Amino acid sequence: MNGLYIFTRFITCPGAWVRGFFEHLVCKISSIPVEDNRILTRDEMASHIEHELAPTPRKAFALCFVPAFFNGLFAFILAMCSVTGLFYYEQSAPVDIIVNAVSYWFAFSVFVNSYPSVEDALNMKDMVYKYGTVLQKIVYAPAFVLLYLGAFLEKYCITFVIAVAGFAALLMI
Amino acid sequence: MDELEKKEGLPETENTGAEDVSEADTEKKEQSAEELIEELEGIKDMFQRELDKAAEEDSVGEMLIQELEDFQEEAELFETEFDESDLCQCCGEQRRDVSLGDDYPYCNDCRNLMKATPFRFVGVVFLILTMLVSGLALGRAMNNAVEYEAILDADSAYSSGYVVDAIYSYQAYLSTKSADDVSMKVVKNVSKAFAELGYYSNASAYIDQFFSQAQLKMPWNKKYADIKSEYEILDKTTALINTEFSAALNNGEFDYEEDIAKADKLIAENKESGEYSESFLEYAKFLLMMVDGQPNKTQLEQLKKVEAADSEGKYKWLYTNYLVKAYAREGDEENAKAYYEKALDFNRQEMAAYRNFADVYRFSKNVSAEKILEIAEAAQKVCSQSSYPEYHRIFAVGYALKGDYESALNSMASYLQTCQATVSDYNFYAVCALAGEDKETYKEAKETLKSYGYEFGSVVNQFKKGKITMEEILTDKEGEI
Repeated sequence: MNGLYIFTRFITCPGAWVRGFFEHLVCKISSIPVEDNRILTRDEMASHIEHELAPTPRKAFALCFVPAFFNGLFAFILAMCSVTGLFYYEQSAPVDIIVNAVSYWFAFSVFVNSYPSVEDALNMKDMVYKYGTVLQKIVYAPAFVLLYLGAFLEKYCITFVIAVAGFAALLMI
Repeated sequence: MDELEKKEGLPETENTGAEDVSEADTEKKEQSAEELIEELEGIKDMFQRELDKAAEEDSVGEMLIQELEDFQEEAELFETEFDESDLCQCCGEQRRDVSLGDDYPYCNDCRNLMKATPFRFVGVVFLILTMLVSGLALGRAMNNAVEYEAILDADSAYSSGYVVDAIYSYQAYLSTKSADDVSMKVVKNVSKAFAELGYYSNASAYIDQFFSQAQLKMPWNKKYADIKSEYEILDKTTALINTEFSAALNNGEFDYEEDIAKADKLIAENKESGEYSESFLEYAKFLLMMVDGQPNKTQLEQLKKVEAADSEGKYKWLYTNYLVKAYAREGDEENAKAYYEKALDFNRQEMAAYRNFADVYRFSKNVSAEKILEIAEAAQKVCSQSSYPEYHRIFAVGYALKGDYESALNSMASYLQTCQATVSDYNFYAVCALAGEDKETYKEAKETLKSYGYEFGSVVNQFKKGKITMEEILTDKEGEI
């Protein structure tokens, strides 16, 4: 499973790097020490940077949410443009085909690498439920479910499978 | 010391004899006791000294032992406080910053350094690259937004059954495009739409213009290759029909029995060879019957054969409307409605279907002007600028049956202005003008028809003479209108 996970991270390297960048950015803003800033490592930390656990609910949430949000945003924009161009309108101009194909790969990559690590997701839950206010607990609950589920699925490469299935389904349009 | 010397030296003797012996013995005894006492005193002192000395030596040992114990304790304490596990896991030199927790692994300096860990260059590059690709893709999409919107509208119309509208939109888009820069989706949709309506030549022309031979060979483009080959079969079949029945179909000069026999022979031969379209050959036979003016029932039977020959449903456009018309003339509302709905299934803007179905309510027992007007309204709703507004004629029939001749005349006038009119349409127009007592319009219609080389049918003269009523004209299924 680990080998498959690493393999999927390498073939979706643009998304892995973008995700790692945003994770690092949040660490910098939140003053969370980064132990290892390598992103494409050949272990289960591939596409994640090694950092200390976030010490507050807000920081823990930001660490999970911000990279997921930006990767999701990029995935949405790229997928919309590339899928409509490639599969819906089926543009025949060579430039359009190249731009759309690259966008499609980037969209796939950033989508597959959207979610946080399971540790970060669990830390977010711990922080919020230990130290968070009632409002934070309510607001963060759906985000936690989504992020934890995504992290869990990503750990077992299921987001990759979902992405393959989803993007292949777009061919049927 | 002097006493000891005395004890150790020779005794001093002054007396001799018995007295002297006893005195001497007594003195000697007294002297020995004193010496013994002295000796004991000396021993006591010596022991005391030794004891003191020994006591003194014991306290030093204790001190040394204590010192040793203290040293060991300090050593142990040192070992505990400066264990390797207490050192920073990063630099290995300074002690861990336990203020952040007992297990915190780094020293404060390393922690601060970690906070300032720089971004990876590749990460920044990929972020910029992702942003660039997103921007480029978004920019190109925005650039094509107007085109996309038009295509989306056309697709929406197509999927909603507004096929005529969709085709016009697709054609408008394709008229400005070349094969190198076109949405193949539009090409595919327009080809499909034309094929569904039976315009195979148009569909095939678009396929030839925008598909390369290599593309057509791809399995996912099989549908379009099939449309092209279907067109070739239809073209061949049409050529055959034109050759065999040209005189009959174009000029009406034929021997019905002979031509029908010829058609039957062609159909039988084709069943073996499969070279031509069977439905189309059956349809040719139906056309012969129609031109010859065979009874509606005979035509209906033949249409059913056309339908039966179309097992894949590819030629619905060929016979569905005729079936609506034939069932309507038979007054069979149920079947007419079923085929009317089938016709609208693939094209909601199929005006002929509305027109043919409306006939049910004048040829059946349940004559209903209201129902005819309802159908006309339905047709008007879906009819776009790009379709022939045949609903005007349906309105005219409804109004005429209702007795509103002025509205009927106006509707027919609109119909004649916008649609391809036949002699039958002019007959009806004239009847409406007569019924509405509009002699001028009647004359104009007569002159217009004359200019085309035609004359009014007998039904107009009969109506003019009052031999027949409007209702009789409109409900006569074998009539001229």
